[in-house]
Amino acid sequence: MGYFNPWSVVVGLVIPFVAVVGGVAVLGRSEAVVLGMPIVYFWVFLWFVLTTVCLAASWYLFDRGDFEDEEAFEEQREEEGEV
Amino acid sequence: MATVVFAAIILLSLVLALLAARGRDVLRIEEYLVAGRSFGGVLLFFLAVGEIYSIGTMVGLPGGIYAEGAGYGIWFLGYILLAYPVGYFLAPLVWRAGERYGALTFPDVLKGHYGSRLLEVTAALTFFAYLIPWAQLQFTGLQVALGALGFGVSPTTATAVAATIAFAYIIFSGVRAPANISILKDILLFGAIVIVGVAAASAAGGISNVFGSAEQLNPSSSRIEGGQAMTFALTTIVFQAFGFITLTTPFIFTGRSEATVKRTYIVMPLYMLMYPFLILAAYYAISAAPNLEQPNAALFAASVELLPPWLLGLVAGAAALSGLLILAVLSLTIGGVLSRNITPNLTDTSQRRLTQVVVTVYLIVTAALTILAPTLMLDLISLAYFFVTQLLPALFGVLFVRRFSALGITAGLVAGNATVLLLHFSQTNTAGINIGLIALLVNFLVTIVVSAVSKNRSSLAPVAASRRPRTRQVERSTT
Repeated sequence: MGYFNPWSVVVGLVIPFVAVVGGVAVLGRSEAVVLGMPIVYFWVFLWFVLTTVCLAASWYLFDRGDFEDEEAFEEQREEEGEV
Repeated sequence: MATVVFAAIILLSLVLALLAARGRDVLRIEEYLVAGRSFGGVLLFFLAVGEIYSIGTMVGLPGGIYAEGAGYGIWFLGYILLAYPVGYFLAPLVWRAGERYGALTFPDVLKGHYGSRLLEVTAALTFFAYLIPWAQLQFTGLQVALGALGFGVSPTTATAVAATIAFAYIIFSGVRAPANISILKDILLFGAIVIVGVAAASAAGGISNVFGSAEQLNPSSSRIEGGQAMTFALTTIVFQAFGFITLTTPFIFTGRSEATVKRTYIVMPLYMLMYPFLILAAYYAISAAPNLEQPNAALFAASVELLPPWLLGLVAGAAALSGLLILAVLSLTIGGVLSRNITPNLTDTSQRRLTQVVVTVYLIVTAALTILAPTLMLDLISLAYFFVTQLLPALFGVLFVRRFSALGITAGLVAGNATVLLLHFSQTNTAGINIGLIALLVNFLVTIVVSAVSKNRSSLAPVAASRRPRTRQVERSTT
């Protein structure tokens, strides 16, 4: 599928899936506590932020170039709308 | 005082619904259902967040943890989180498909791509199947929220009032009303949850005490105990993360471009930062309010203990608003699917009358189910996903797989839905594997096999193979 940049898929999809699914499988039964909470919760909370970091990396490093002219067109339209 | 705050929030939302229609021709069906594909990132974000973080989140998640422990909490958080990476990659393509076929509903996309009446109607019926537990979810939450205010209203009155308000939202402004109300509701919801969570932690004397006291009462509450609970959590996370894209097609269509849709998904996980606070409230309820008759009431059991009345009104108001909002959007979806995909040949007048009758019947039936068969809210979420995710092979056919034929996808859908019904109602033991996932495998298998022997595949290229109409991309691809 030529549509997706493979690096973008690794960073934005594979890494979050492996981290969250794998993390739950490994840490779900653990009795360890981090910051007062069971470690499995800590891990999932951590990935709320890290998933956005991954997606932002996919966008700025790999995908944004494909949408440049669409974004430029939108900005133009917005400016015209304000006039 | 709680009642005054609650009533003020509901009134404010009705005003916002009315204002939403200003200067727009809402009688035009495209404007009514997808706001003329005009929403920028901010409105799209709020509408999406408004639809995703429904009352199922606010009331259902604490109830699930209260009744079933960490396994339920984790699958709920995990699937929503992973739905965003999936959406980041697939949602822009869904938007492109919507634009290519001028679609207002997902069955519209299938009609445009395959030109098969049979497939269109089967997909529309699948939508209706998922919409029933999804509305039950909202009604259950609304009952619990109103009950917490201590009006002593009967569940029947509560659901009737709820249905009426939801109807009022959309009658004036179509989808613009939920988008406007979403902003109010998302801010209230976030604030209310943070307040309850902080109050829980300070009342217990620290985060570790909240989990510690819960664990003393129920040792398995903070770990995923047992192989089946773990298998269920993992398979449900993966299954629903992919199902999410089929469930959210209505709001994807409201975006104004592929880039807008894609960018919106990048920031969506950040709204989830309210969940740690909600989890604290849930675990606080386990030790502070043990032996609740109705686990769905866990959040409000904690709130009543922790908050002054006016804040309780705020929490209940935010919860009710999110439930009403979804009911409004669901009614829109039903009306849209019915008028465009089931009975497209009626005149406008009979169309409108039929839609009103069906939406009314739908609200009454789901309200009645809620009263007759109270169900743990997270189980209703699972049930809805069993059905709606069965549309995935159809979506893949439109976006990527040229080999899938209309007949193959229709057969797969029927087989998938039948498997769901069979496994769900016979309560077959699947060793913890999510039964929707099993049904989806059956669905894909049937789709592939039937597609191999039937020849009516689409003559159109899959959506992902087509380029957005842009000069630079064309130049690059020829080099």
